[in-house]
This record gives sequence, structure tokens and C-alpha cells, in this order.
Amino acid sequence: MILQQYKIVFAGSMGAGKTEAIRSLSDIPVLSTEALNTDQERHSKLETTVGIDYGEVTLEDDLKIGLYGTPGQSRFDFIWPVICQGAIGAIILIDHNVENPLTEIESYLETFQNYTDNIAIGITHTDEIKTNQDTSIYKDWLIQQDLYSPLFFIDSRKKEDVLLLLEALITSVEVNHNISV
Amino acid sequence: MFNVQKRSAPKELVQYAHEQISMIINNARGVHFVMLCSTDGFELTSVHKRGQYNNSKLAAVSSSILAMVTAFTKEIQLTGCQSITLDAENGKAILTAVSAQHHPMIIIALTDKDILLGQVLYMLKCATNAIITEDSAIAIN
Repeated sequence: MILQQYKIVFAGSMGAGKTEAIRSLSDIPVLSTEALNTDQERHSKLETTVGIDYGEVTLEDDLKIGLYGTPGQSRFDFIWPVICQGAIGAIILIDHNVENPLTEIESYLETFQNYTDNIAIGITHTDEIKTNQDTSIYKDWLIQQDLYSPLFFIDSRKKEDVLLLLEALITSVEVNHNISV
Repeated sequence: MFNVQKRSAPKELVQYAHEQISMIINNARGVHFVMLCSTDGFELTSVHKRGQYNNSKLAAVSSSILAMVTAFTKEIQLTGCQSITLDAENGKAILTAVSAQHHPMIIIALTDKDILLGQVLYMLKCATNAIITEDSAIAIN
């Protein structure tokens, strides 16, 4: 059987769990480009991705997926189109506890739709009670926007959660393009 | 316990580093811009003789490049790579990691095409070592 390799990009807000999602999913040790995070006003986490994260996962039928992580901060937007070249889709992860998660989703969607038609959305950190926002806002927003992108609440630390999102994205690629990946 | 220490470099360290990079631009021929930034891509201070750059973007791109090259050298088991020299037709860019324990930083030096590369690299090394020592001294005090 011929081993096919595809590329999927992880994008989204700082601290949403992009690097962690790749770590959870990857079959190989993840190549990460993290630096000390000095922007503590924006997020308290110790390290932040400044380059490209890379991992790999092999699904059924020897379908090998290259997992590419991006830095979330807009000052690194120069690298987003570079990473997205040749990607079959993108997973946008948004921290539910940011001030306005819907605005964040809209912003990343608007940007990454320029690079790929296939996008899945993961809402993270829903287990932390730091916000009064109900998780139903996402369903309402999807209906309002007439969007059919897969959207799941995930824990980036759990492989099964991230795998679910990845498989939903791959299914949407197959549906959108009427192909079998 | 939680690390609540402020992670951005303190003013006195940035001031000290500013003096160090000023010495480079004043004493090394052909160097026209030197910037110090954090490893997560924020400008801390800079000195220039000429050239207008988007310093914020330059800091972000430099931090990305250095992180990517570090990941690459780690992957191929090269150790101790602290500096990258980009040699273009009309000038050079030298990115140097300042591996200070408490406040790791990056020095970006932009130069003319024809420079005494060894001299500039030596001065960058001296500045880097001085900043690392000062970082430790400030942390102890």
C-alpha cells in the first residue's frame, strides 16, 4: 500500500492548546519551537510557540498526517501563509475563556479561509470556569453565520478529543471535494 | 508554587544591554542597525545609524527564525549553535542568541555587505557574554 501524507495546520488563539493538541496526537516526538512567554498580560503560560510545531499521526489505511502548529499571536502572521501552503485543512482552536471567543473565531476564520477551504473549530478550556459565557453561543453563532464547519469542545490533552476533531476535518474534506482522502 | 515572577527583562538589564549594542554599532565598521529583542519576539531596545525597519515585525521574524534553526540543529544533533549569519547581495544579517538564564534574548545586527565579519562576531560574542553575566548579577541582587 502506498503511504500517503497530508498536511493539517493548527491555528488559533494564544494558549488555546495548539502545541498540546499536536503533542497529544503525534506518533513521533514533536518538534517544537517554544520560547519564554514574556507577554504575561495576554497569557500567563510559561512558554509560547514562535515558529512551527511539527508532529505526525498515522490513521487507518496508512493515511499519514503531518501536524503543523502555528504561533497564535498576530505578530507572527507572516508565517501563517507559509505554513498553510499545501495543507488540506486547518483546525482552529479557541480558548473559551478569552474575552470574546466569537470575535476570535471570526478573525482566525477570516484569515485562514484565505489559505484553505476546509476548517474545523475546536473550543478548548471549557472545563475552567473563568467566564460567564455559555457554550451554547457557538451553536447559535454557527446557525447565524450559516456555517457548516465542524465545531467540537475538546480537551487538547486528550488524544481522543483531538483525533475526533481531526477525523471530522478529514470527513469534511472528503465531503467538500467529493473525494476519498 | 506558581511562577509569578515578571518574565520581561528589567529596565536596568535592558539599559545595560543597550550600552553593549551601542558599543557594537559605534566600534564595528559597517554595522548600521542592532536590535535586542525577547525570544518570544518583542523589541526591547535598538540602535541604528541608518535604515528604517518595522522593528516589531523584525523582532517577531527573528525570534521565529532562531527558534526554527535551533529546532533544526537539535534535530541533526548539532550543539552550541548560538548565531546565524544571513549573507545577501547587499548586506548581512546576524542573529545571535543571548542565552541568559532569567531573560533569554536575541541580538539582531544588520550590516553592509563588506564588513570584517570576524570582528563583528567577536563583538557580538563579547556583548552576549556581558549581558548574560549582568542578567545573573541582577537576579542575585
